Amino acid sequence: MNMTRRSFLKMGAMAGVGLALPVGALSRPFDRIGAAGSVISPSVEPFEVPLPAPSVLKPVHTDSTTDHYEVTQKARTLEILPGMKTEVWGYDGLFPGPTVEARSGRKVVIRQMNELPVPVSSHLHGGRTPPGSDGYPTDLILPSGSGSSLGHDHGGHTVTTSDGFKDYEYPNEQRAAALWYHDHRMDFTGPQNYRGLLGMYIIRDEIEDELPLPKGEKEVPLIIADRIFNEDGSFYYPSIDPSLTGQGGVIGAYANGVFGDTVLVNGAPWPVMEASNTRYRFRILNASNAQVYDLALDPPPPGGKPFVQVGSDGGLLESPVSHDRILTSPAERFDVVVDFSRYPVGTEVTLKNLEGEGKTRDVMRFVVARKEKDESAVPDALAPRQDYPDPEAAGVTRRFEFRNGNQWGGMSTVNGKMFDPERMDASPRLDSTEVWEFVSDGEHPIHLHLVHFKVMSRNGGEPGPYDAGWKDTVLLRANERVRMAARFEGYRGKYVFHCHNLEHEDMMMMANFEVI
Amino acid sequence: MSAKTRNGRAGTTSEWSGHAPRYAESALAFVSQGIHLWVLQEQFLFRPLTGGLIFLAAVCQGLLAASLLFGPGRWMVRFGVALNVCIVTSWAVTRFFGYPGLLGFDRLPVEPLNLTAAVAEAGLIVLLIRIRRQIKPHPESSERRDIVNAA
Repeated sequence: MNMTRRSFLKMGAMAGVGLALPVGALSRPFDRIGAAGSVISPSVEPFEVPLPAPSVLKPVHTDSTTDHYEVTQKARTLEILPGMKTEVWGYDGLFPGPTVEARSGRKVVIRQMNELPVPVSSHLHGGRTPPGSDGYPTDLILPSGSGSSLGHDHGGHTVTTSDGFKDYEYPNEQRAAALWYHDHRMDFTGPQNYRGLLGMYIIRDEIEDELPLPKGEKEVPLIIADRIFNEDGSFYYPSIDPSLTGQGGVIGAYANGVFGDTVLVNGAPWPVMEASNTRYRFRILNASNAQVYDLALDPPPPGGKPFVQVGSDGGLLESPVSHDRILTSPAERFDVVVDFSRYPVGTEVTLKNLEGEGKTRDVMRFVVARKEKDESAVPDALAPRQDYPDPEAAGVTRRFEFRNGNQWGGMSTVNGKMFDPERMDASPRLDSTEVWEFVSDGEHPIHLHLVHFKVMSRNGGEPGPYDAGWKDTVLLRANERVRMAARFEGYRGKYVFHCHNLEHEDMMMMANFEVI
Repeated sequence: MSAKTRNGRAGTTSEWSGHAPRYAESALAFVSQGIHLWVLQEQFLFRPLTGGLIFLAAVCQGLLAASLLFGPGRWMVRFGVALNVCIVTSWAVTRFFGYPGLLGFDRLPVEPLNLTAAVAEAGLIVLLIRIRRQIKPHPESSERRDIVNAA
């Protein structure tokens, strides 16, 4: 075969442009996919770091009706793993962020200031909040002084923006409960929570004040979150765009959630807490992106169930419920009392995650270190009889199917549809009761903004052991069906409901409802 | 004004303008390849299946673009038309109908980048069909066809 210069050039150009260029372009994603499966956090000796207590936020000023706070969202370097530095994005640079202590019926205004390089949106999870302060995913606070064009296009969807700060108003017209606040920016909730944008928000009221439950230093928040760390101590999160300004979502292999190999409680790895042989009230928050925890005490105390649940997402139960274990999915809160007087002084009690493997089977340790007089108690009646919504009064029943994308392609969906901020998926009337049925293909913790609801049935039978009380997040295991009743009261406006596996949420497992 | 001819000598403006449609096609194929390469990395990380298809499209558009620069045969023009019809159809289906239940997503958004690629590919189809009519069959293949017909 004769090869002319022309045909040689042609073949060369076709090989170069047609093959070498695309293959070269693939090398970087191949490298990242290869590296993604091999990241292992630096080794940490468990039960060495004392359990930290999140700081409590102080108001900048108060008046007769309102407490005013200011919080700056900023990057800061912290020592999370002993001897290593980790850059977090935190509320006031803290991880977890400072706890807000609020009173039922007393308004709180938080000025959120953004000194991060990306837009943010703050959601008070569990809050009965007007739509303008709910942290809708496209209601963004832009970085201070960034103008109007930094990575918040969101596929051309309409966004509302505040330049540098926004005042969020929380009326707190709701019962005493453990809420939490966290970032809720469309497409980037997963990585921005992962970097540290979360904190607790506790509402108290007279009913709770009068109960003899453990108080003060014996009321302990346990914010459980798993993470992966790089060798240098930085967080590893498999974002498609690590700058968090372009394409949202995670590398396909993590489409079902980012599961860490290091368990943090209140921001410390496998911490240890010294306790007296008395009752403690633990406000447990699962702040992980995707991990479900099946919590158990090892050894279990003699003579019965170790956890006495006194509250759920929406506040105190009518009466306590005892559990051998606590199954908690992302965003759920469990308010439990553990009585360490059932252990001899000197006992080391490990909080285990029965769903974990290897190192992640441990969560933290309690050491029953001393004797103390205990004046607390768990009364048989906690809250007054609750006015749960009556499903018989429901005028509308809606059904929502939550379906996963997968690692090969595809987004997660609700009723076969990806999240679209402009599409309304349900329009309940103000003060109406509706029954909503959720169906799952995989494991999905479903969260509704604005309302608390009552789980009516699970797979056609009775609600599960962890469905007691008012809920705002309910876990569906694979192929489960949950019916709940909710009263849409408080405010008219547009809200979202979504899977709280944050990778599912970022990959579009979210939908809108508008209270009309 | 002059342009290089096939044998490397300076040619006239009319020779250049004679090649212009081919260069325009090539440019459109390069634009399409460039856009596919631009989105390839993210898409491959995000949705490997979609990323694989985008990779294939980028390879084919690159081959087509390079071939068009040097004077394509009829088969390459046919290939170019078929390829771009496939790409534009896939784009339209995923944007206006979706793949309900198949890949777990519904309609994909129409965005400036993918719209630009689709317009370039539609333009390429039109130009390729026009140029296809102007390309004479290769003498050898005509002879072969004659032999086959005679047989």
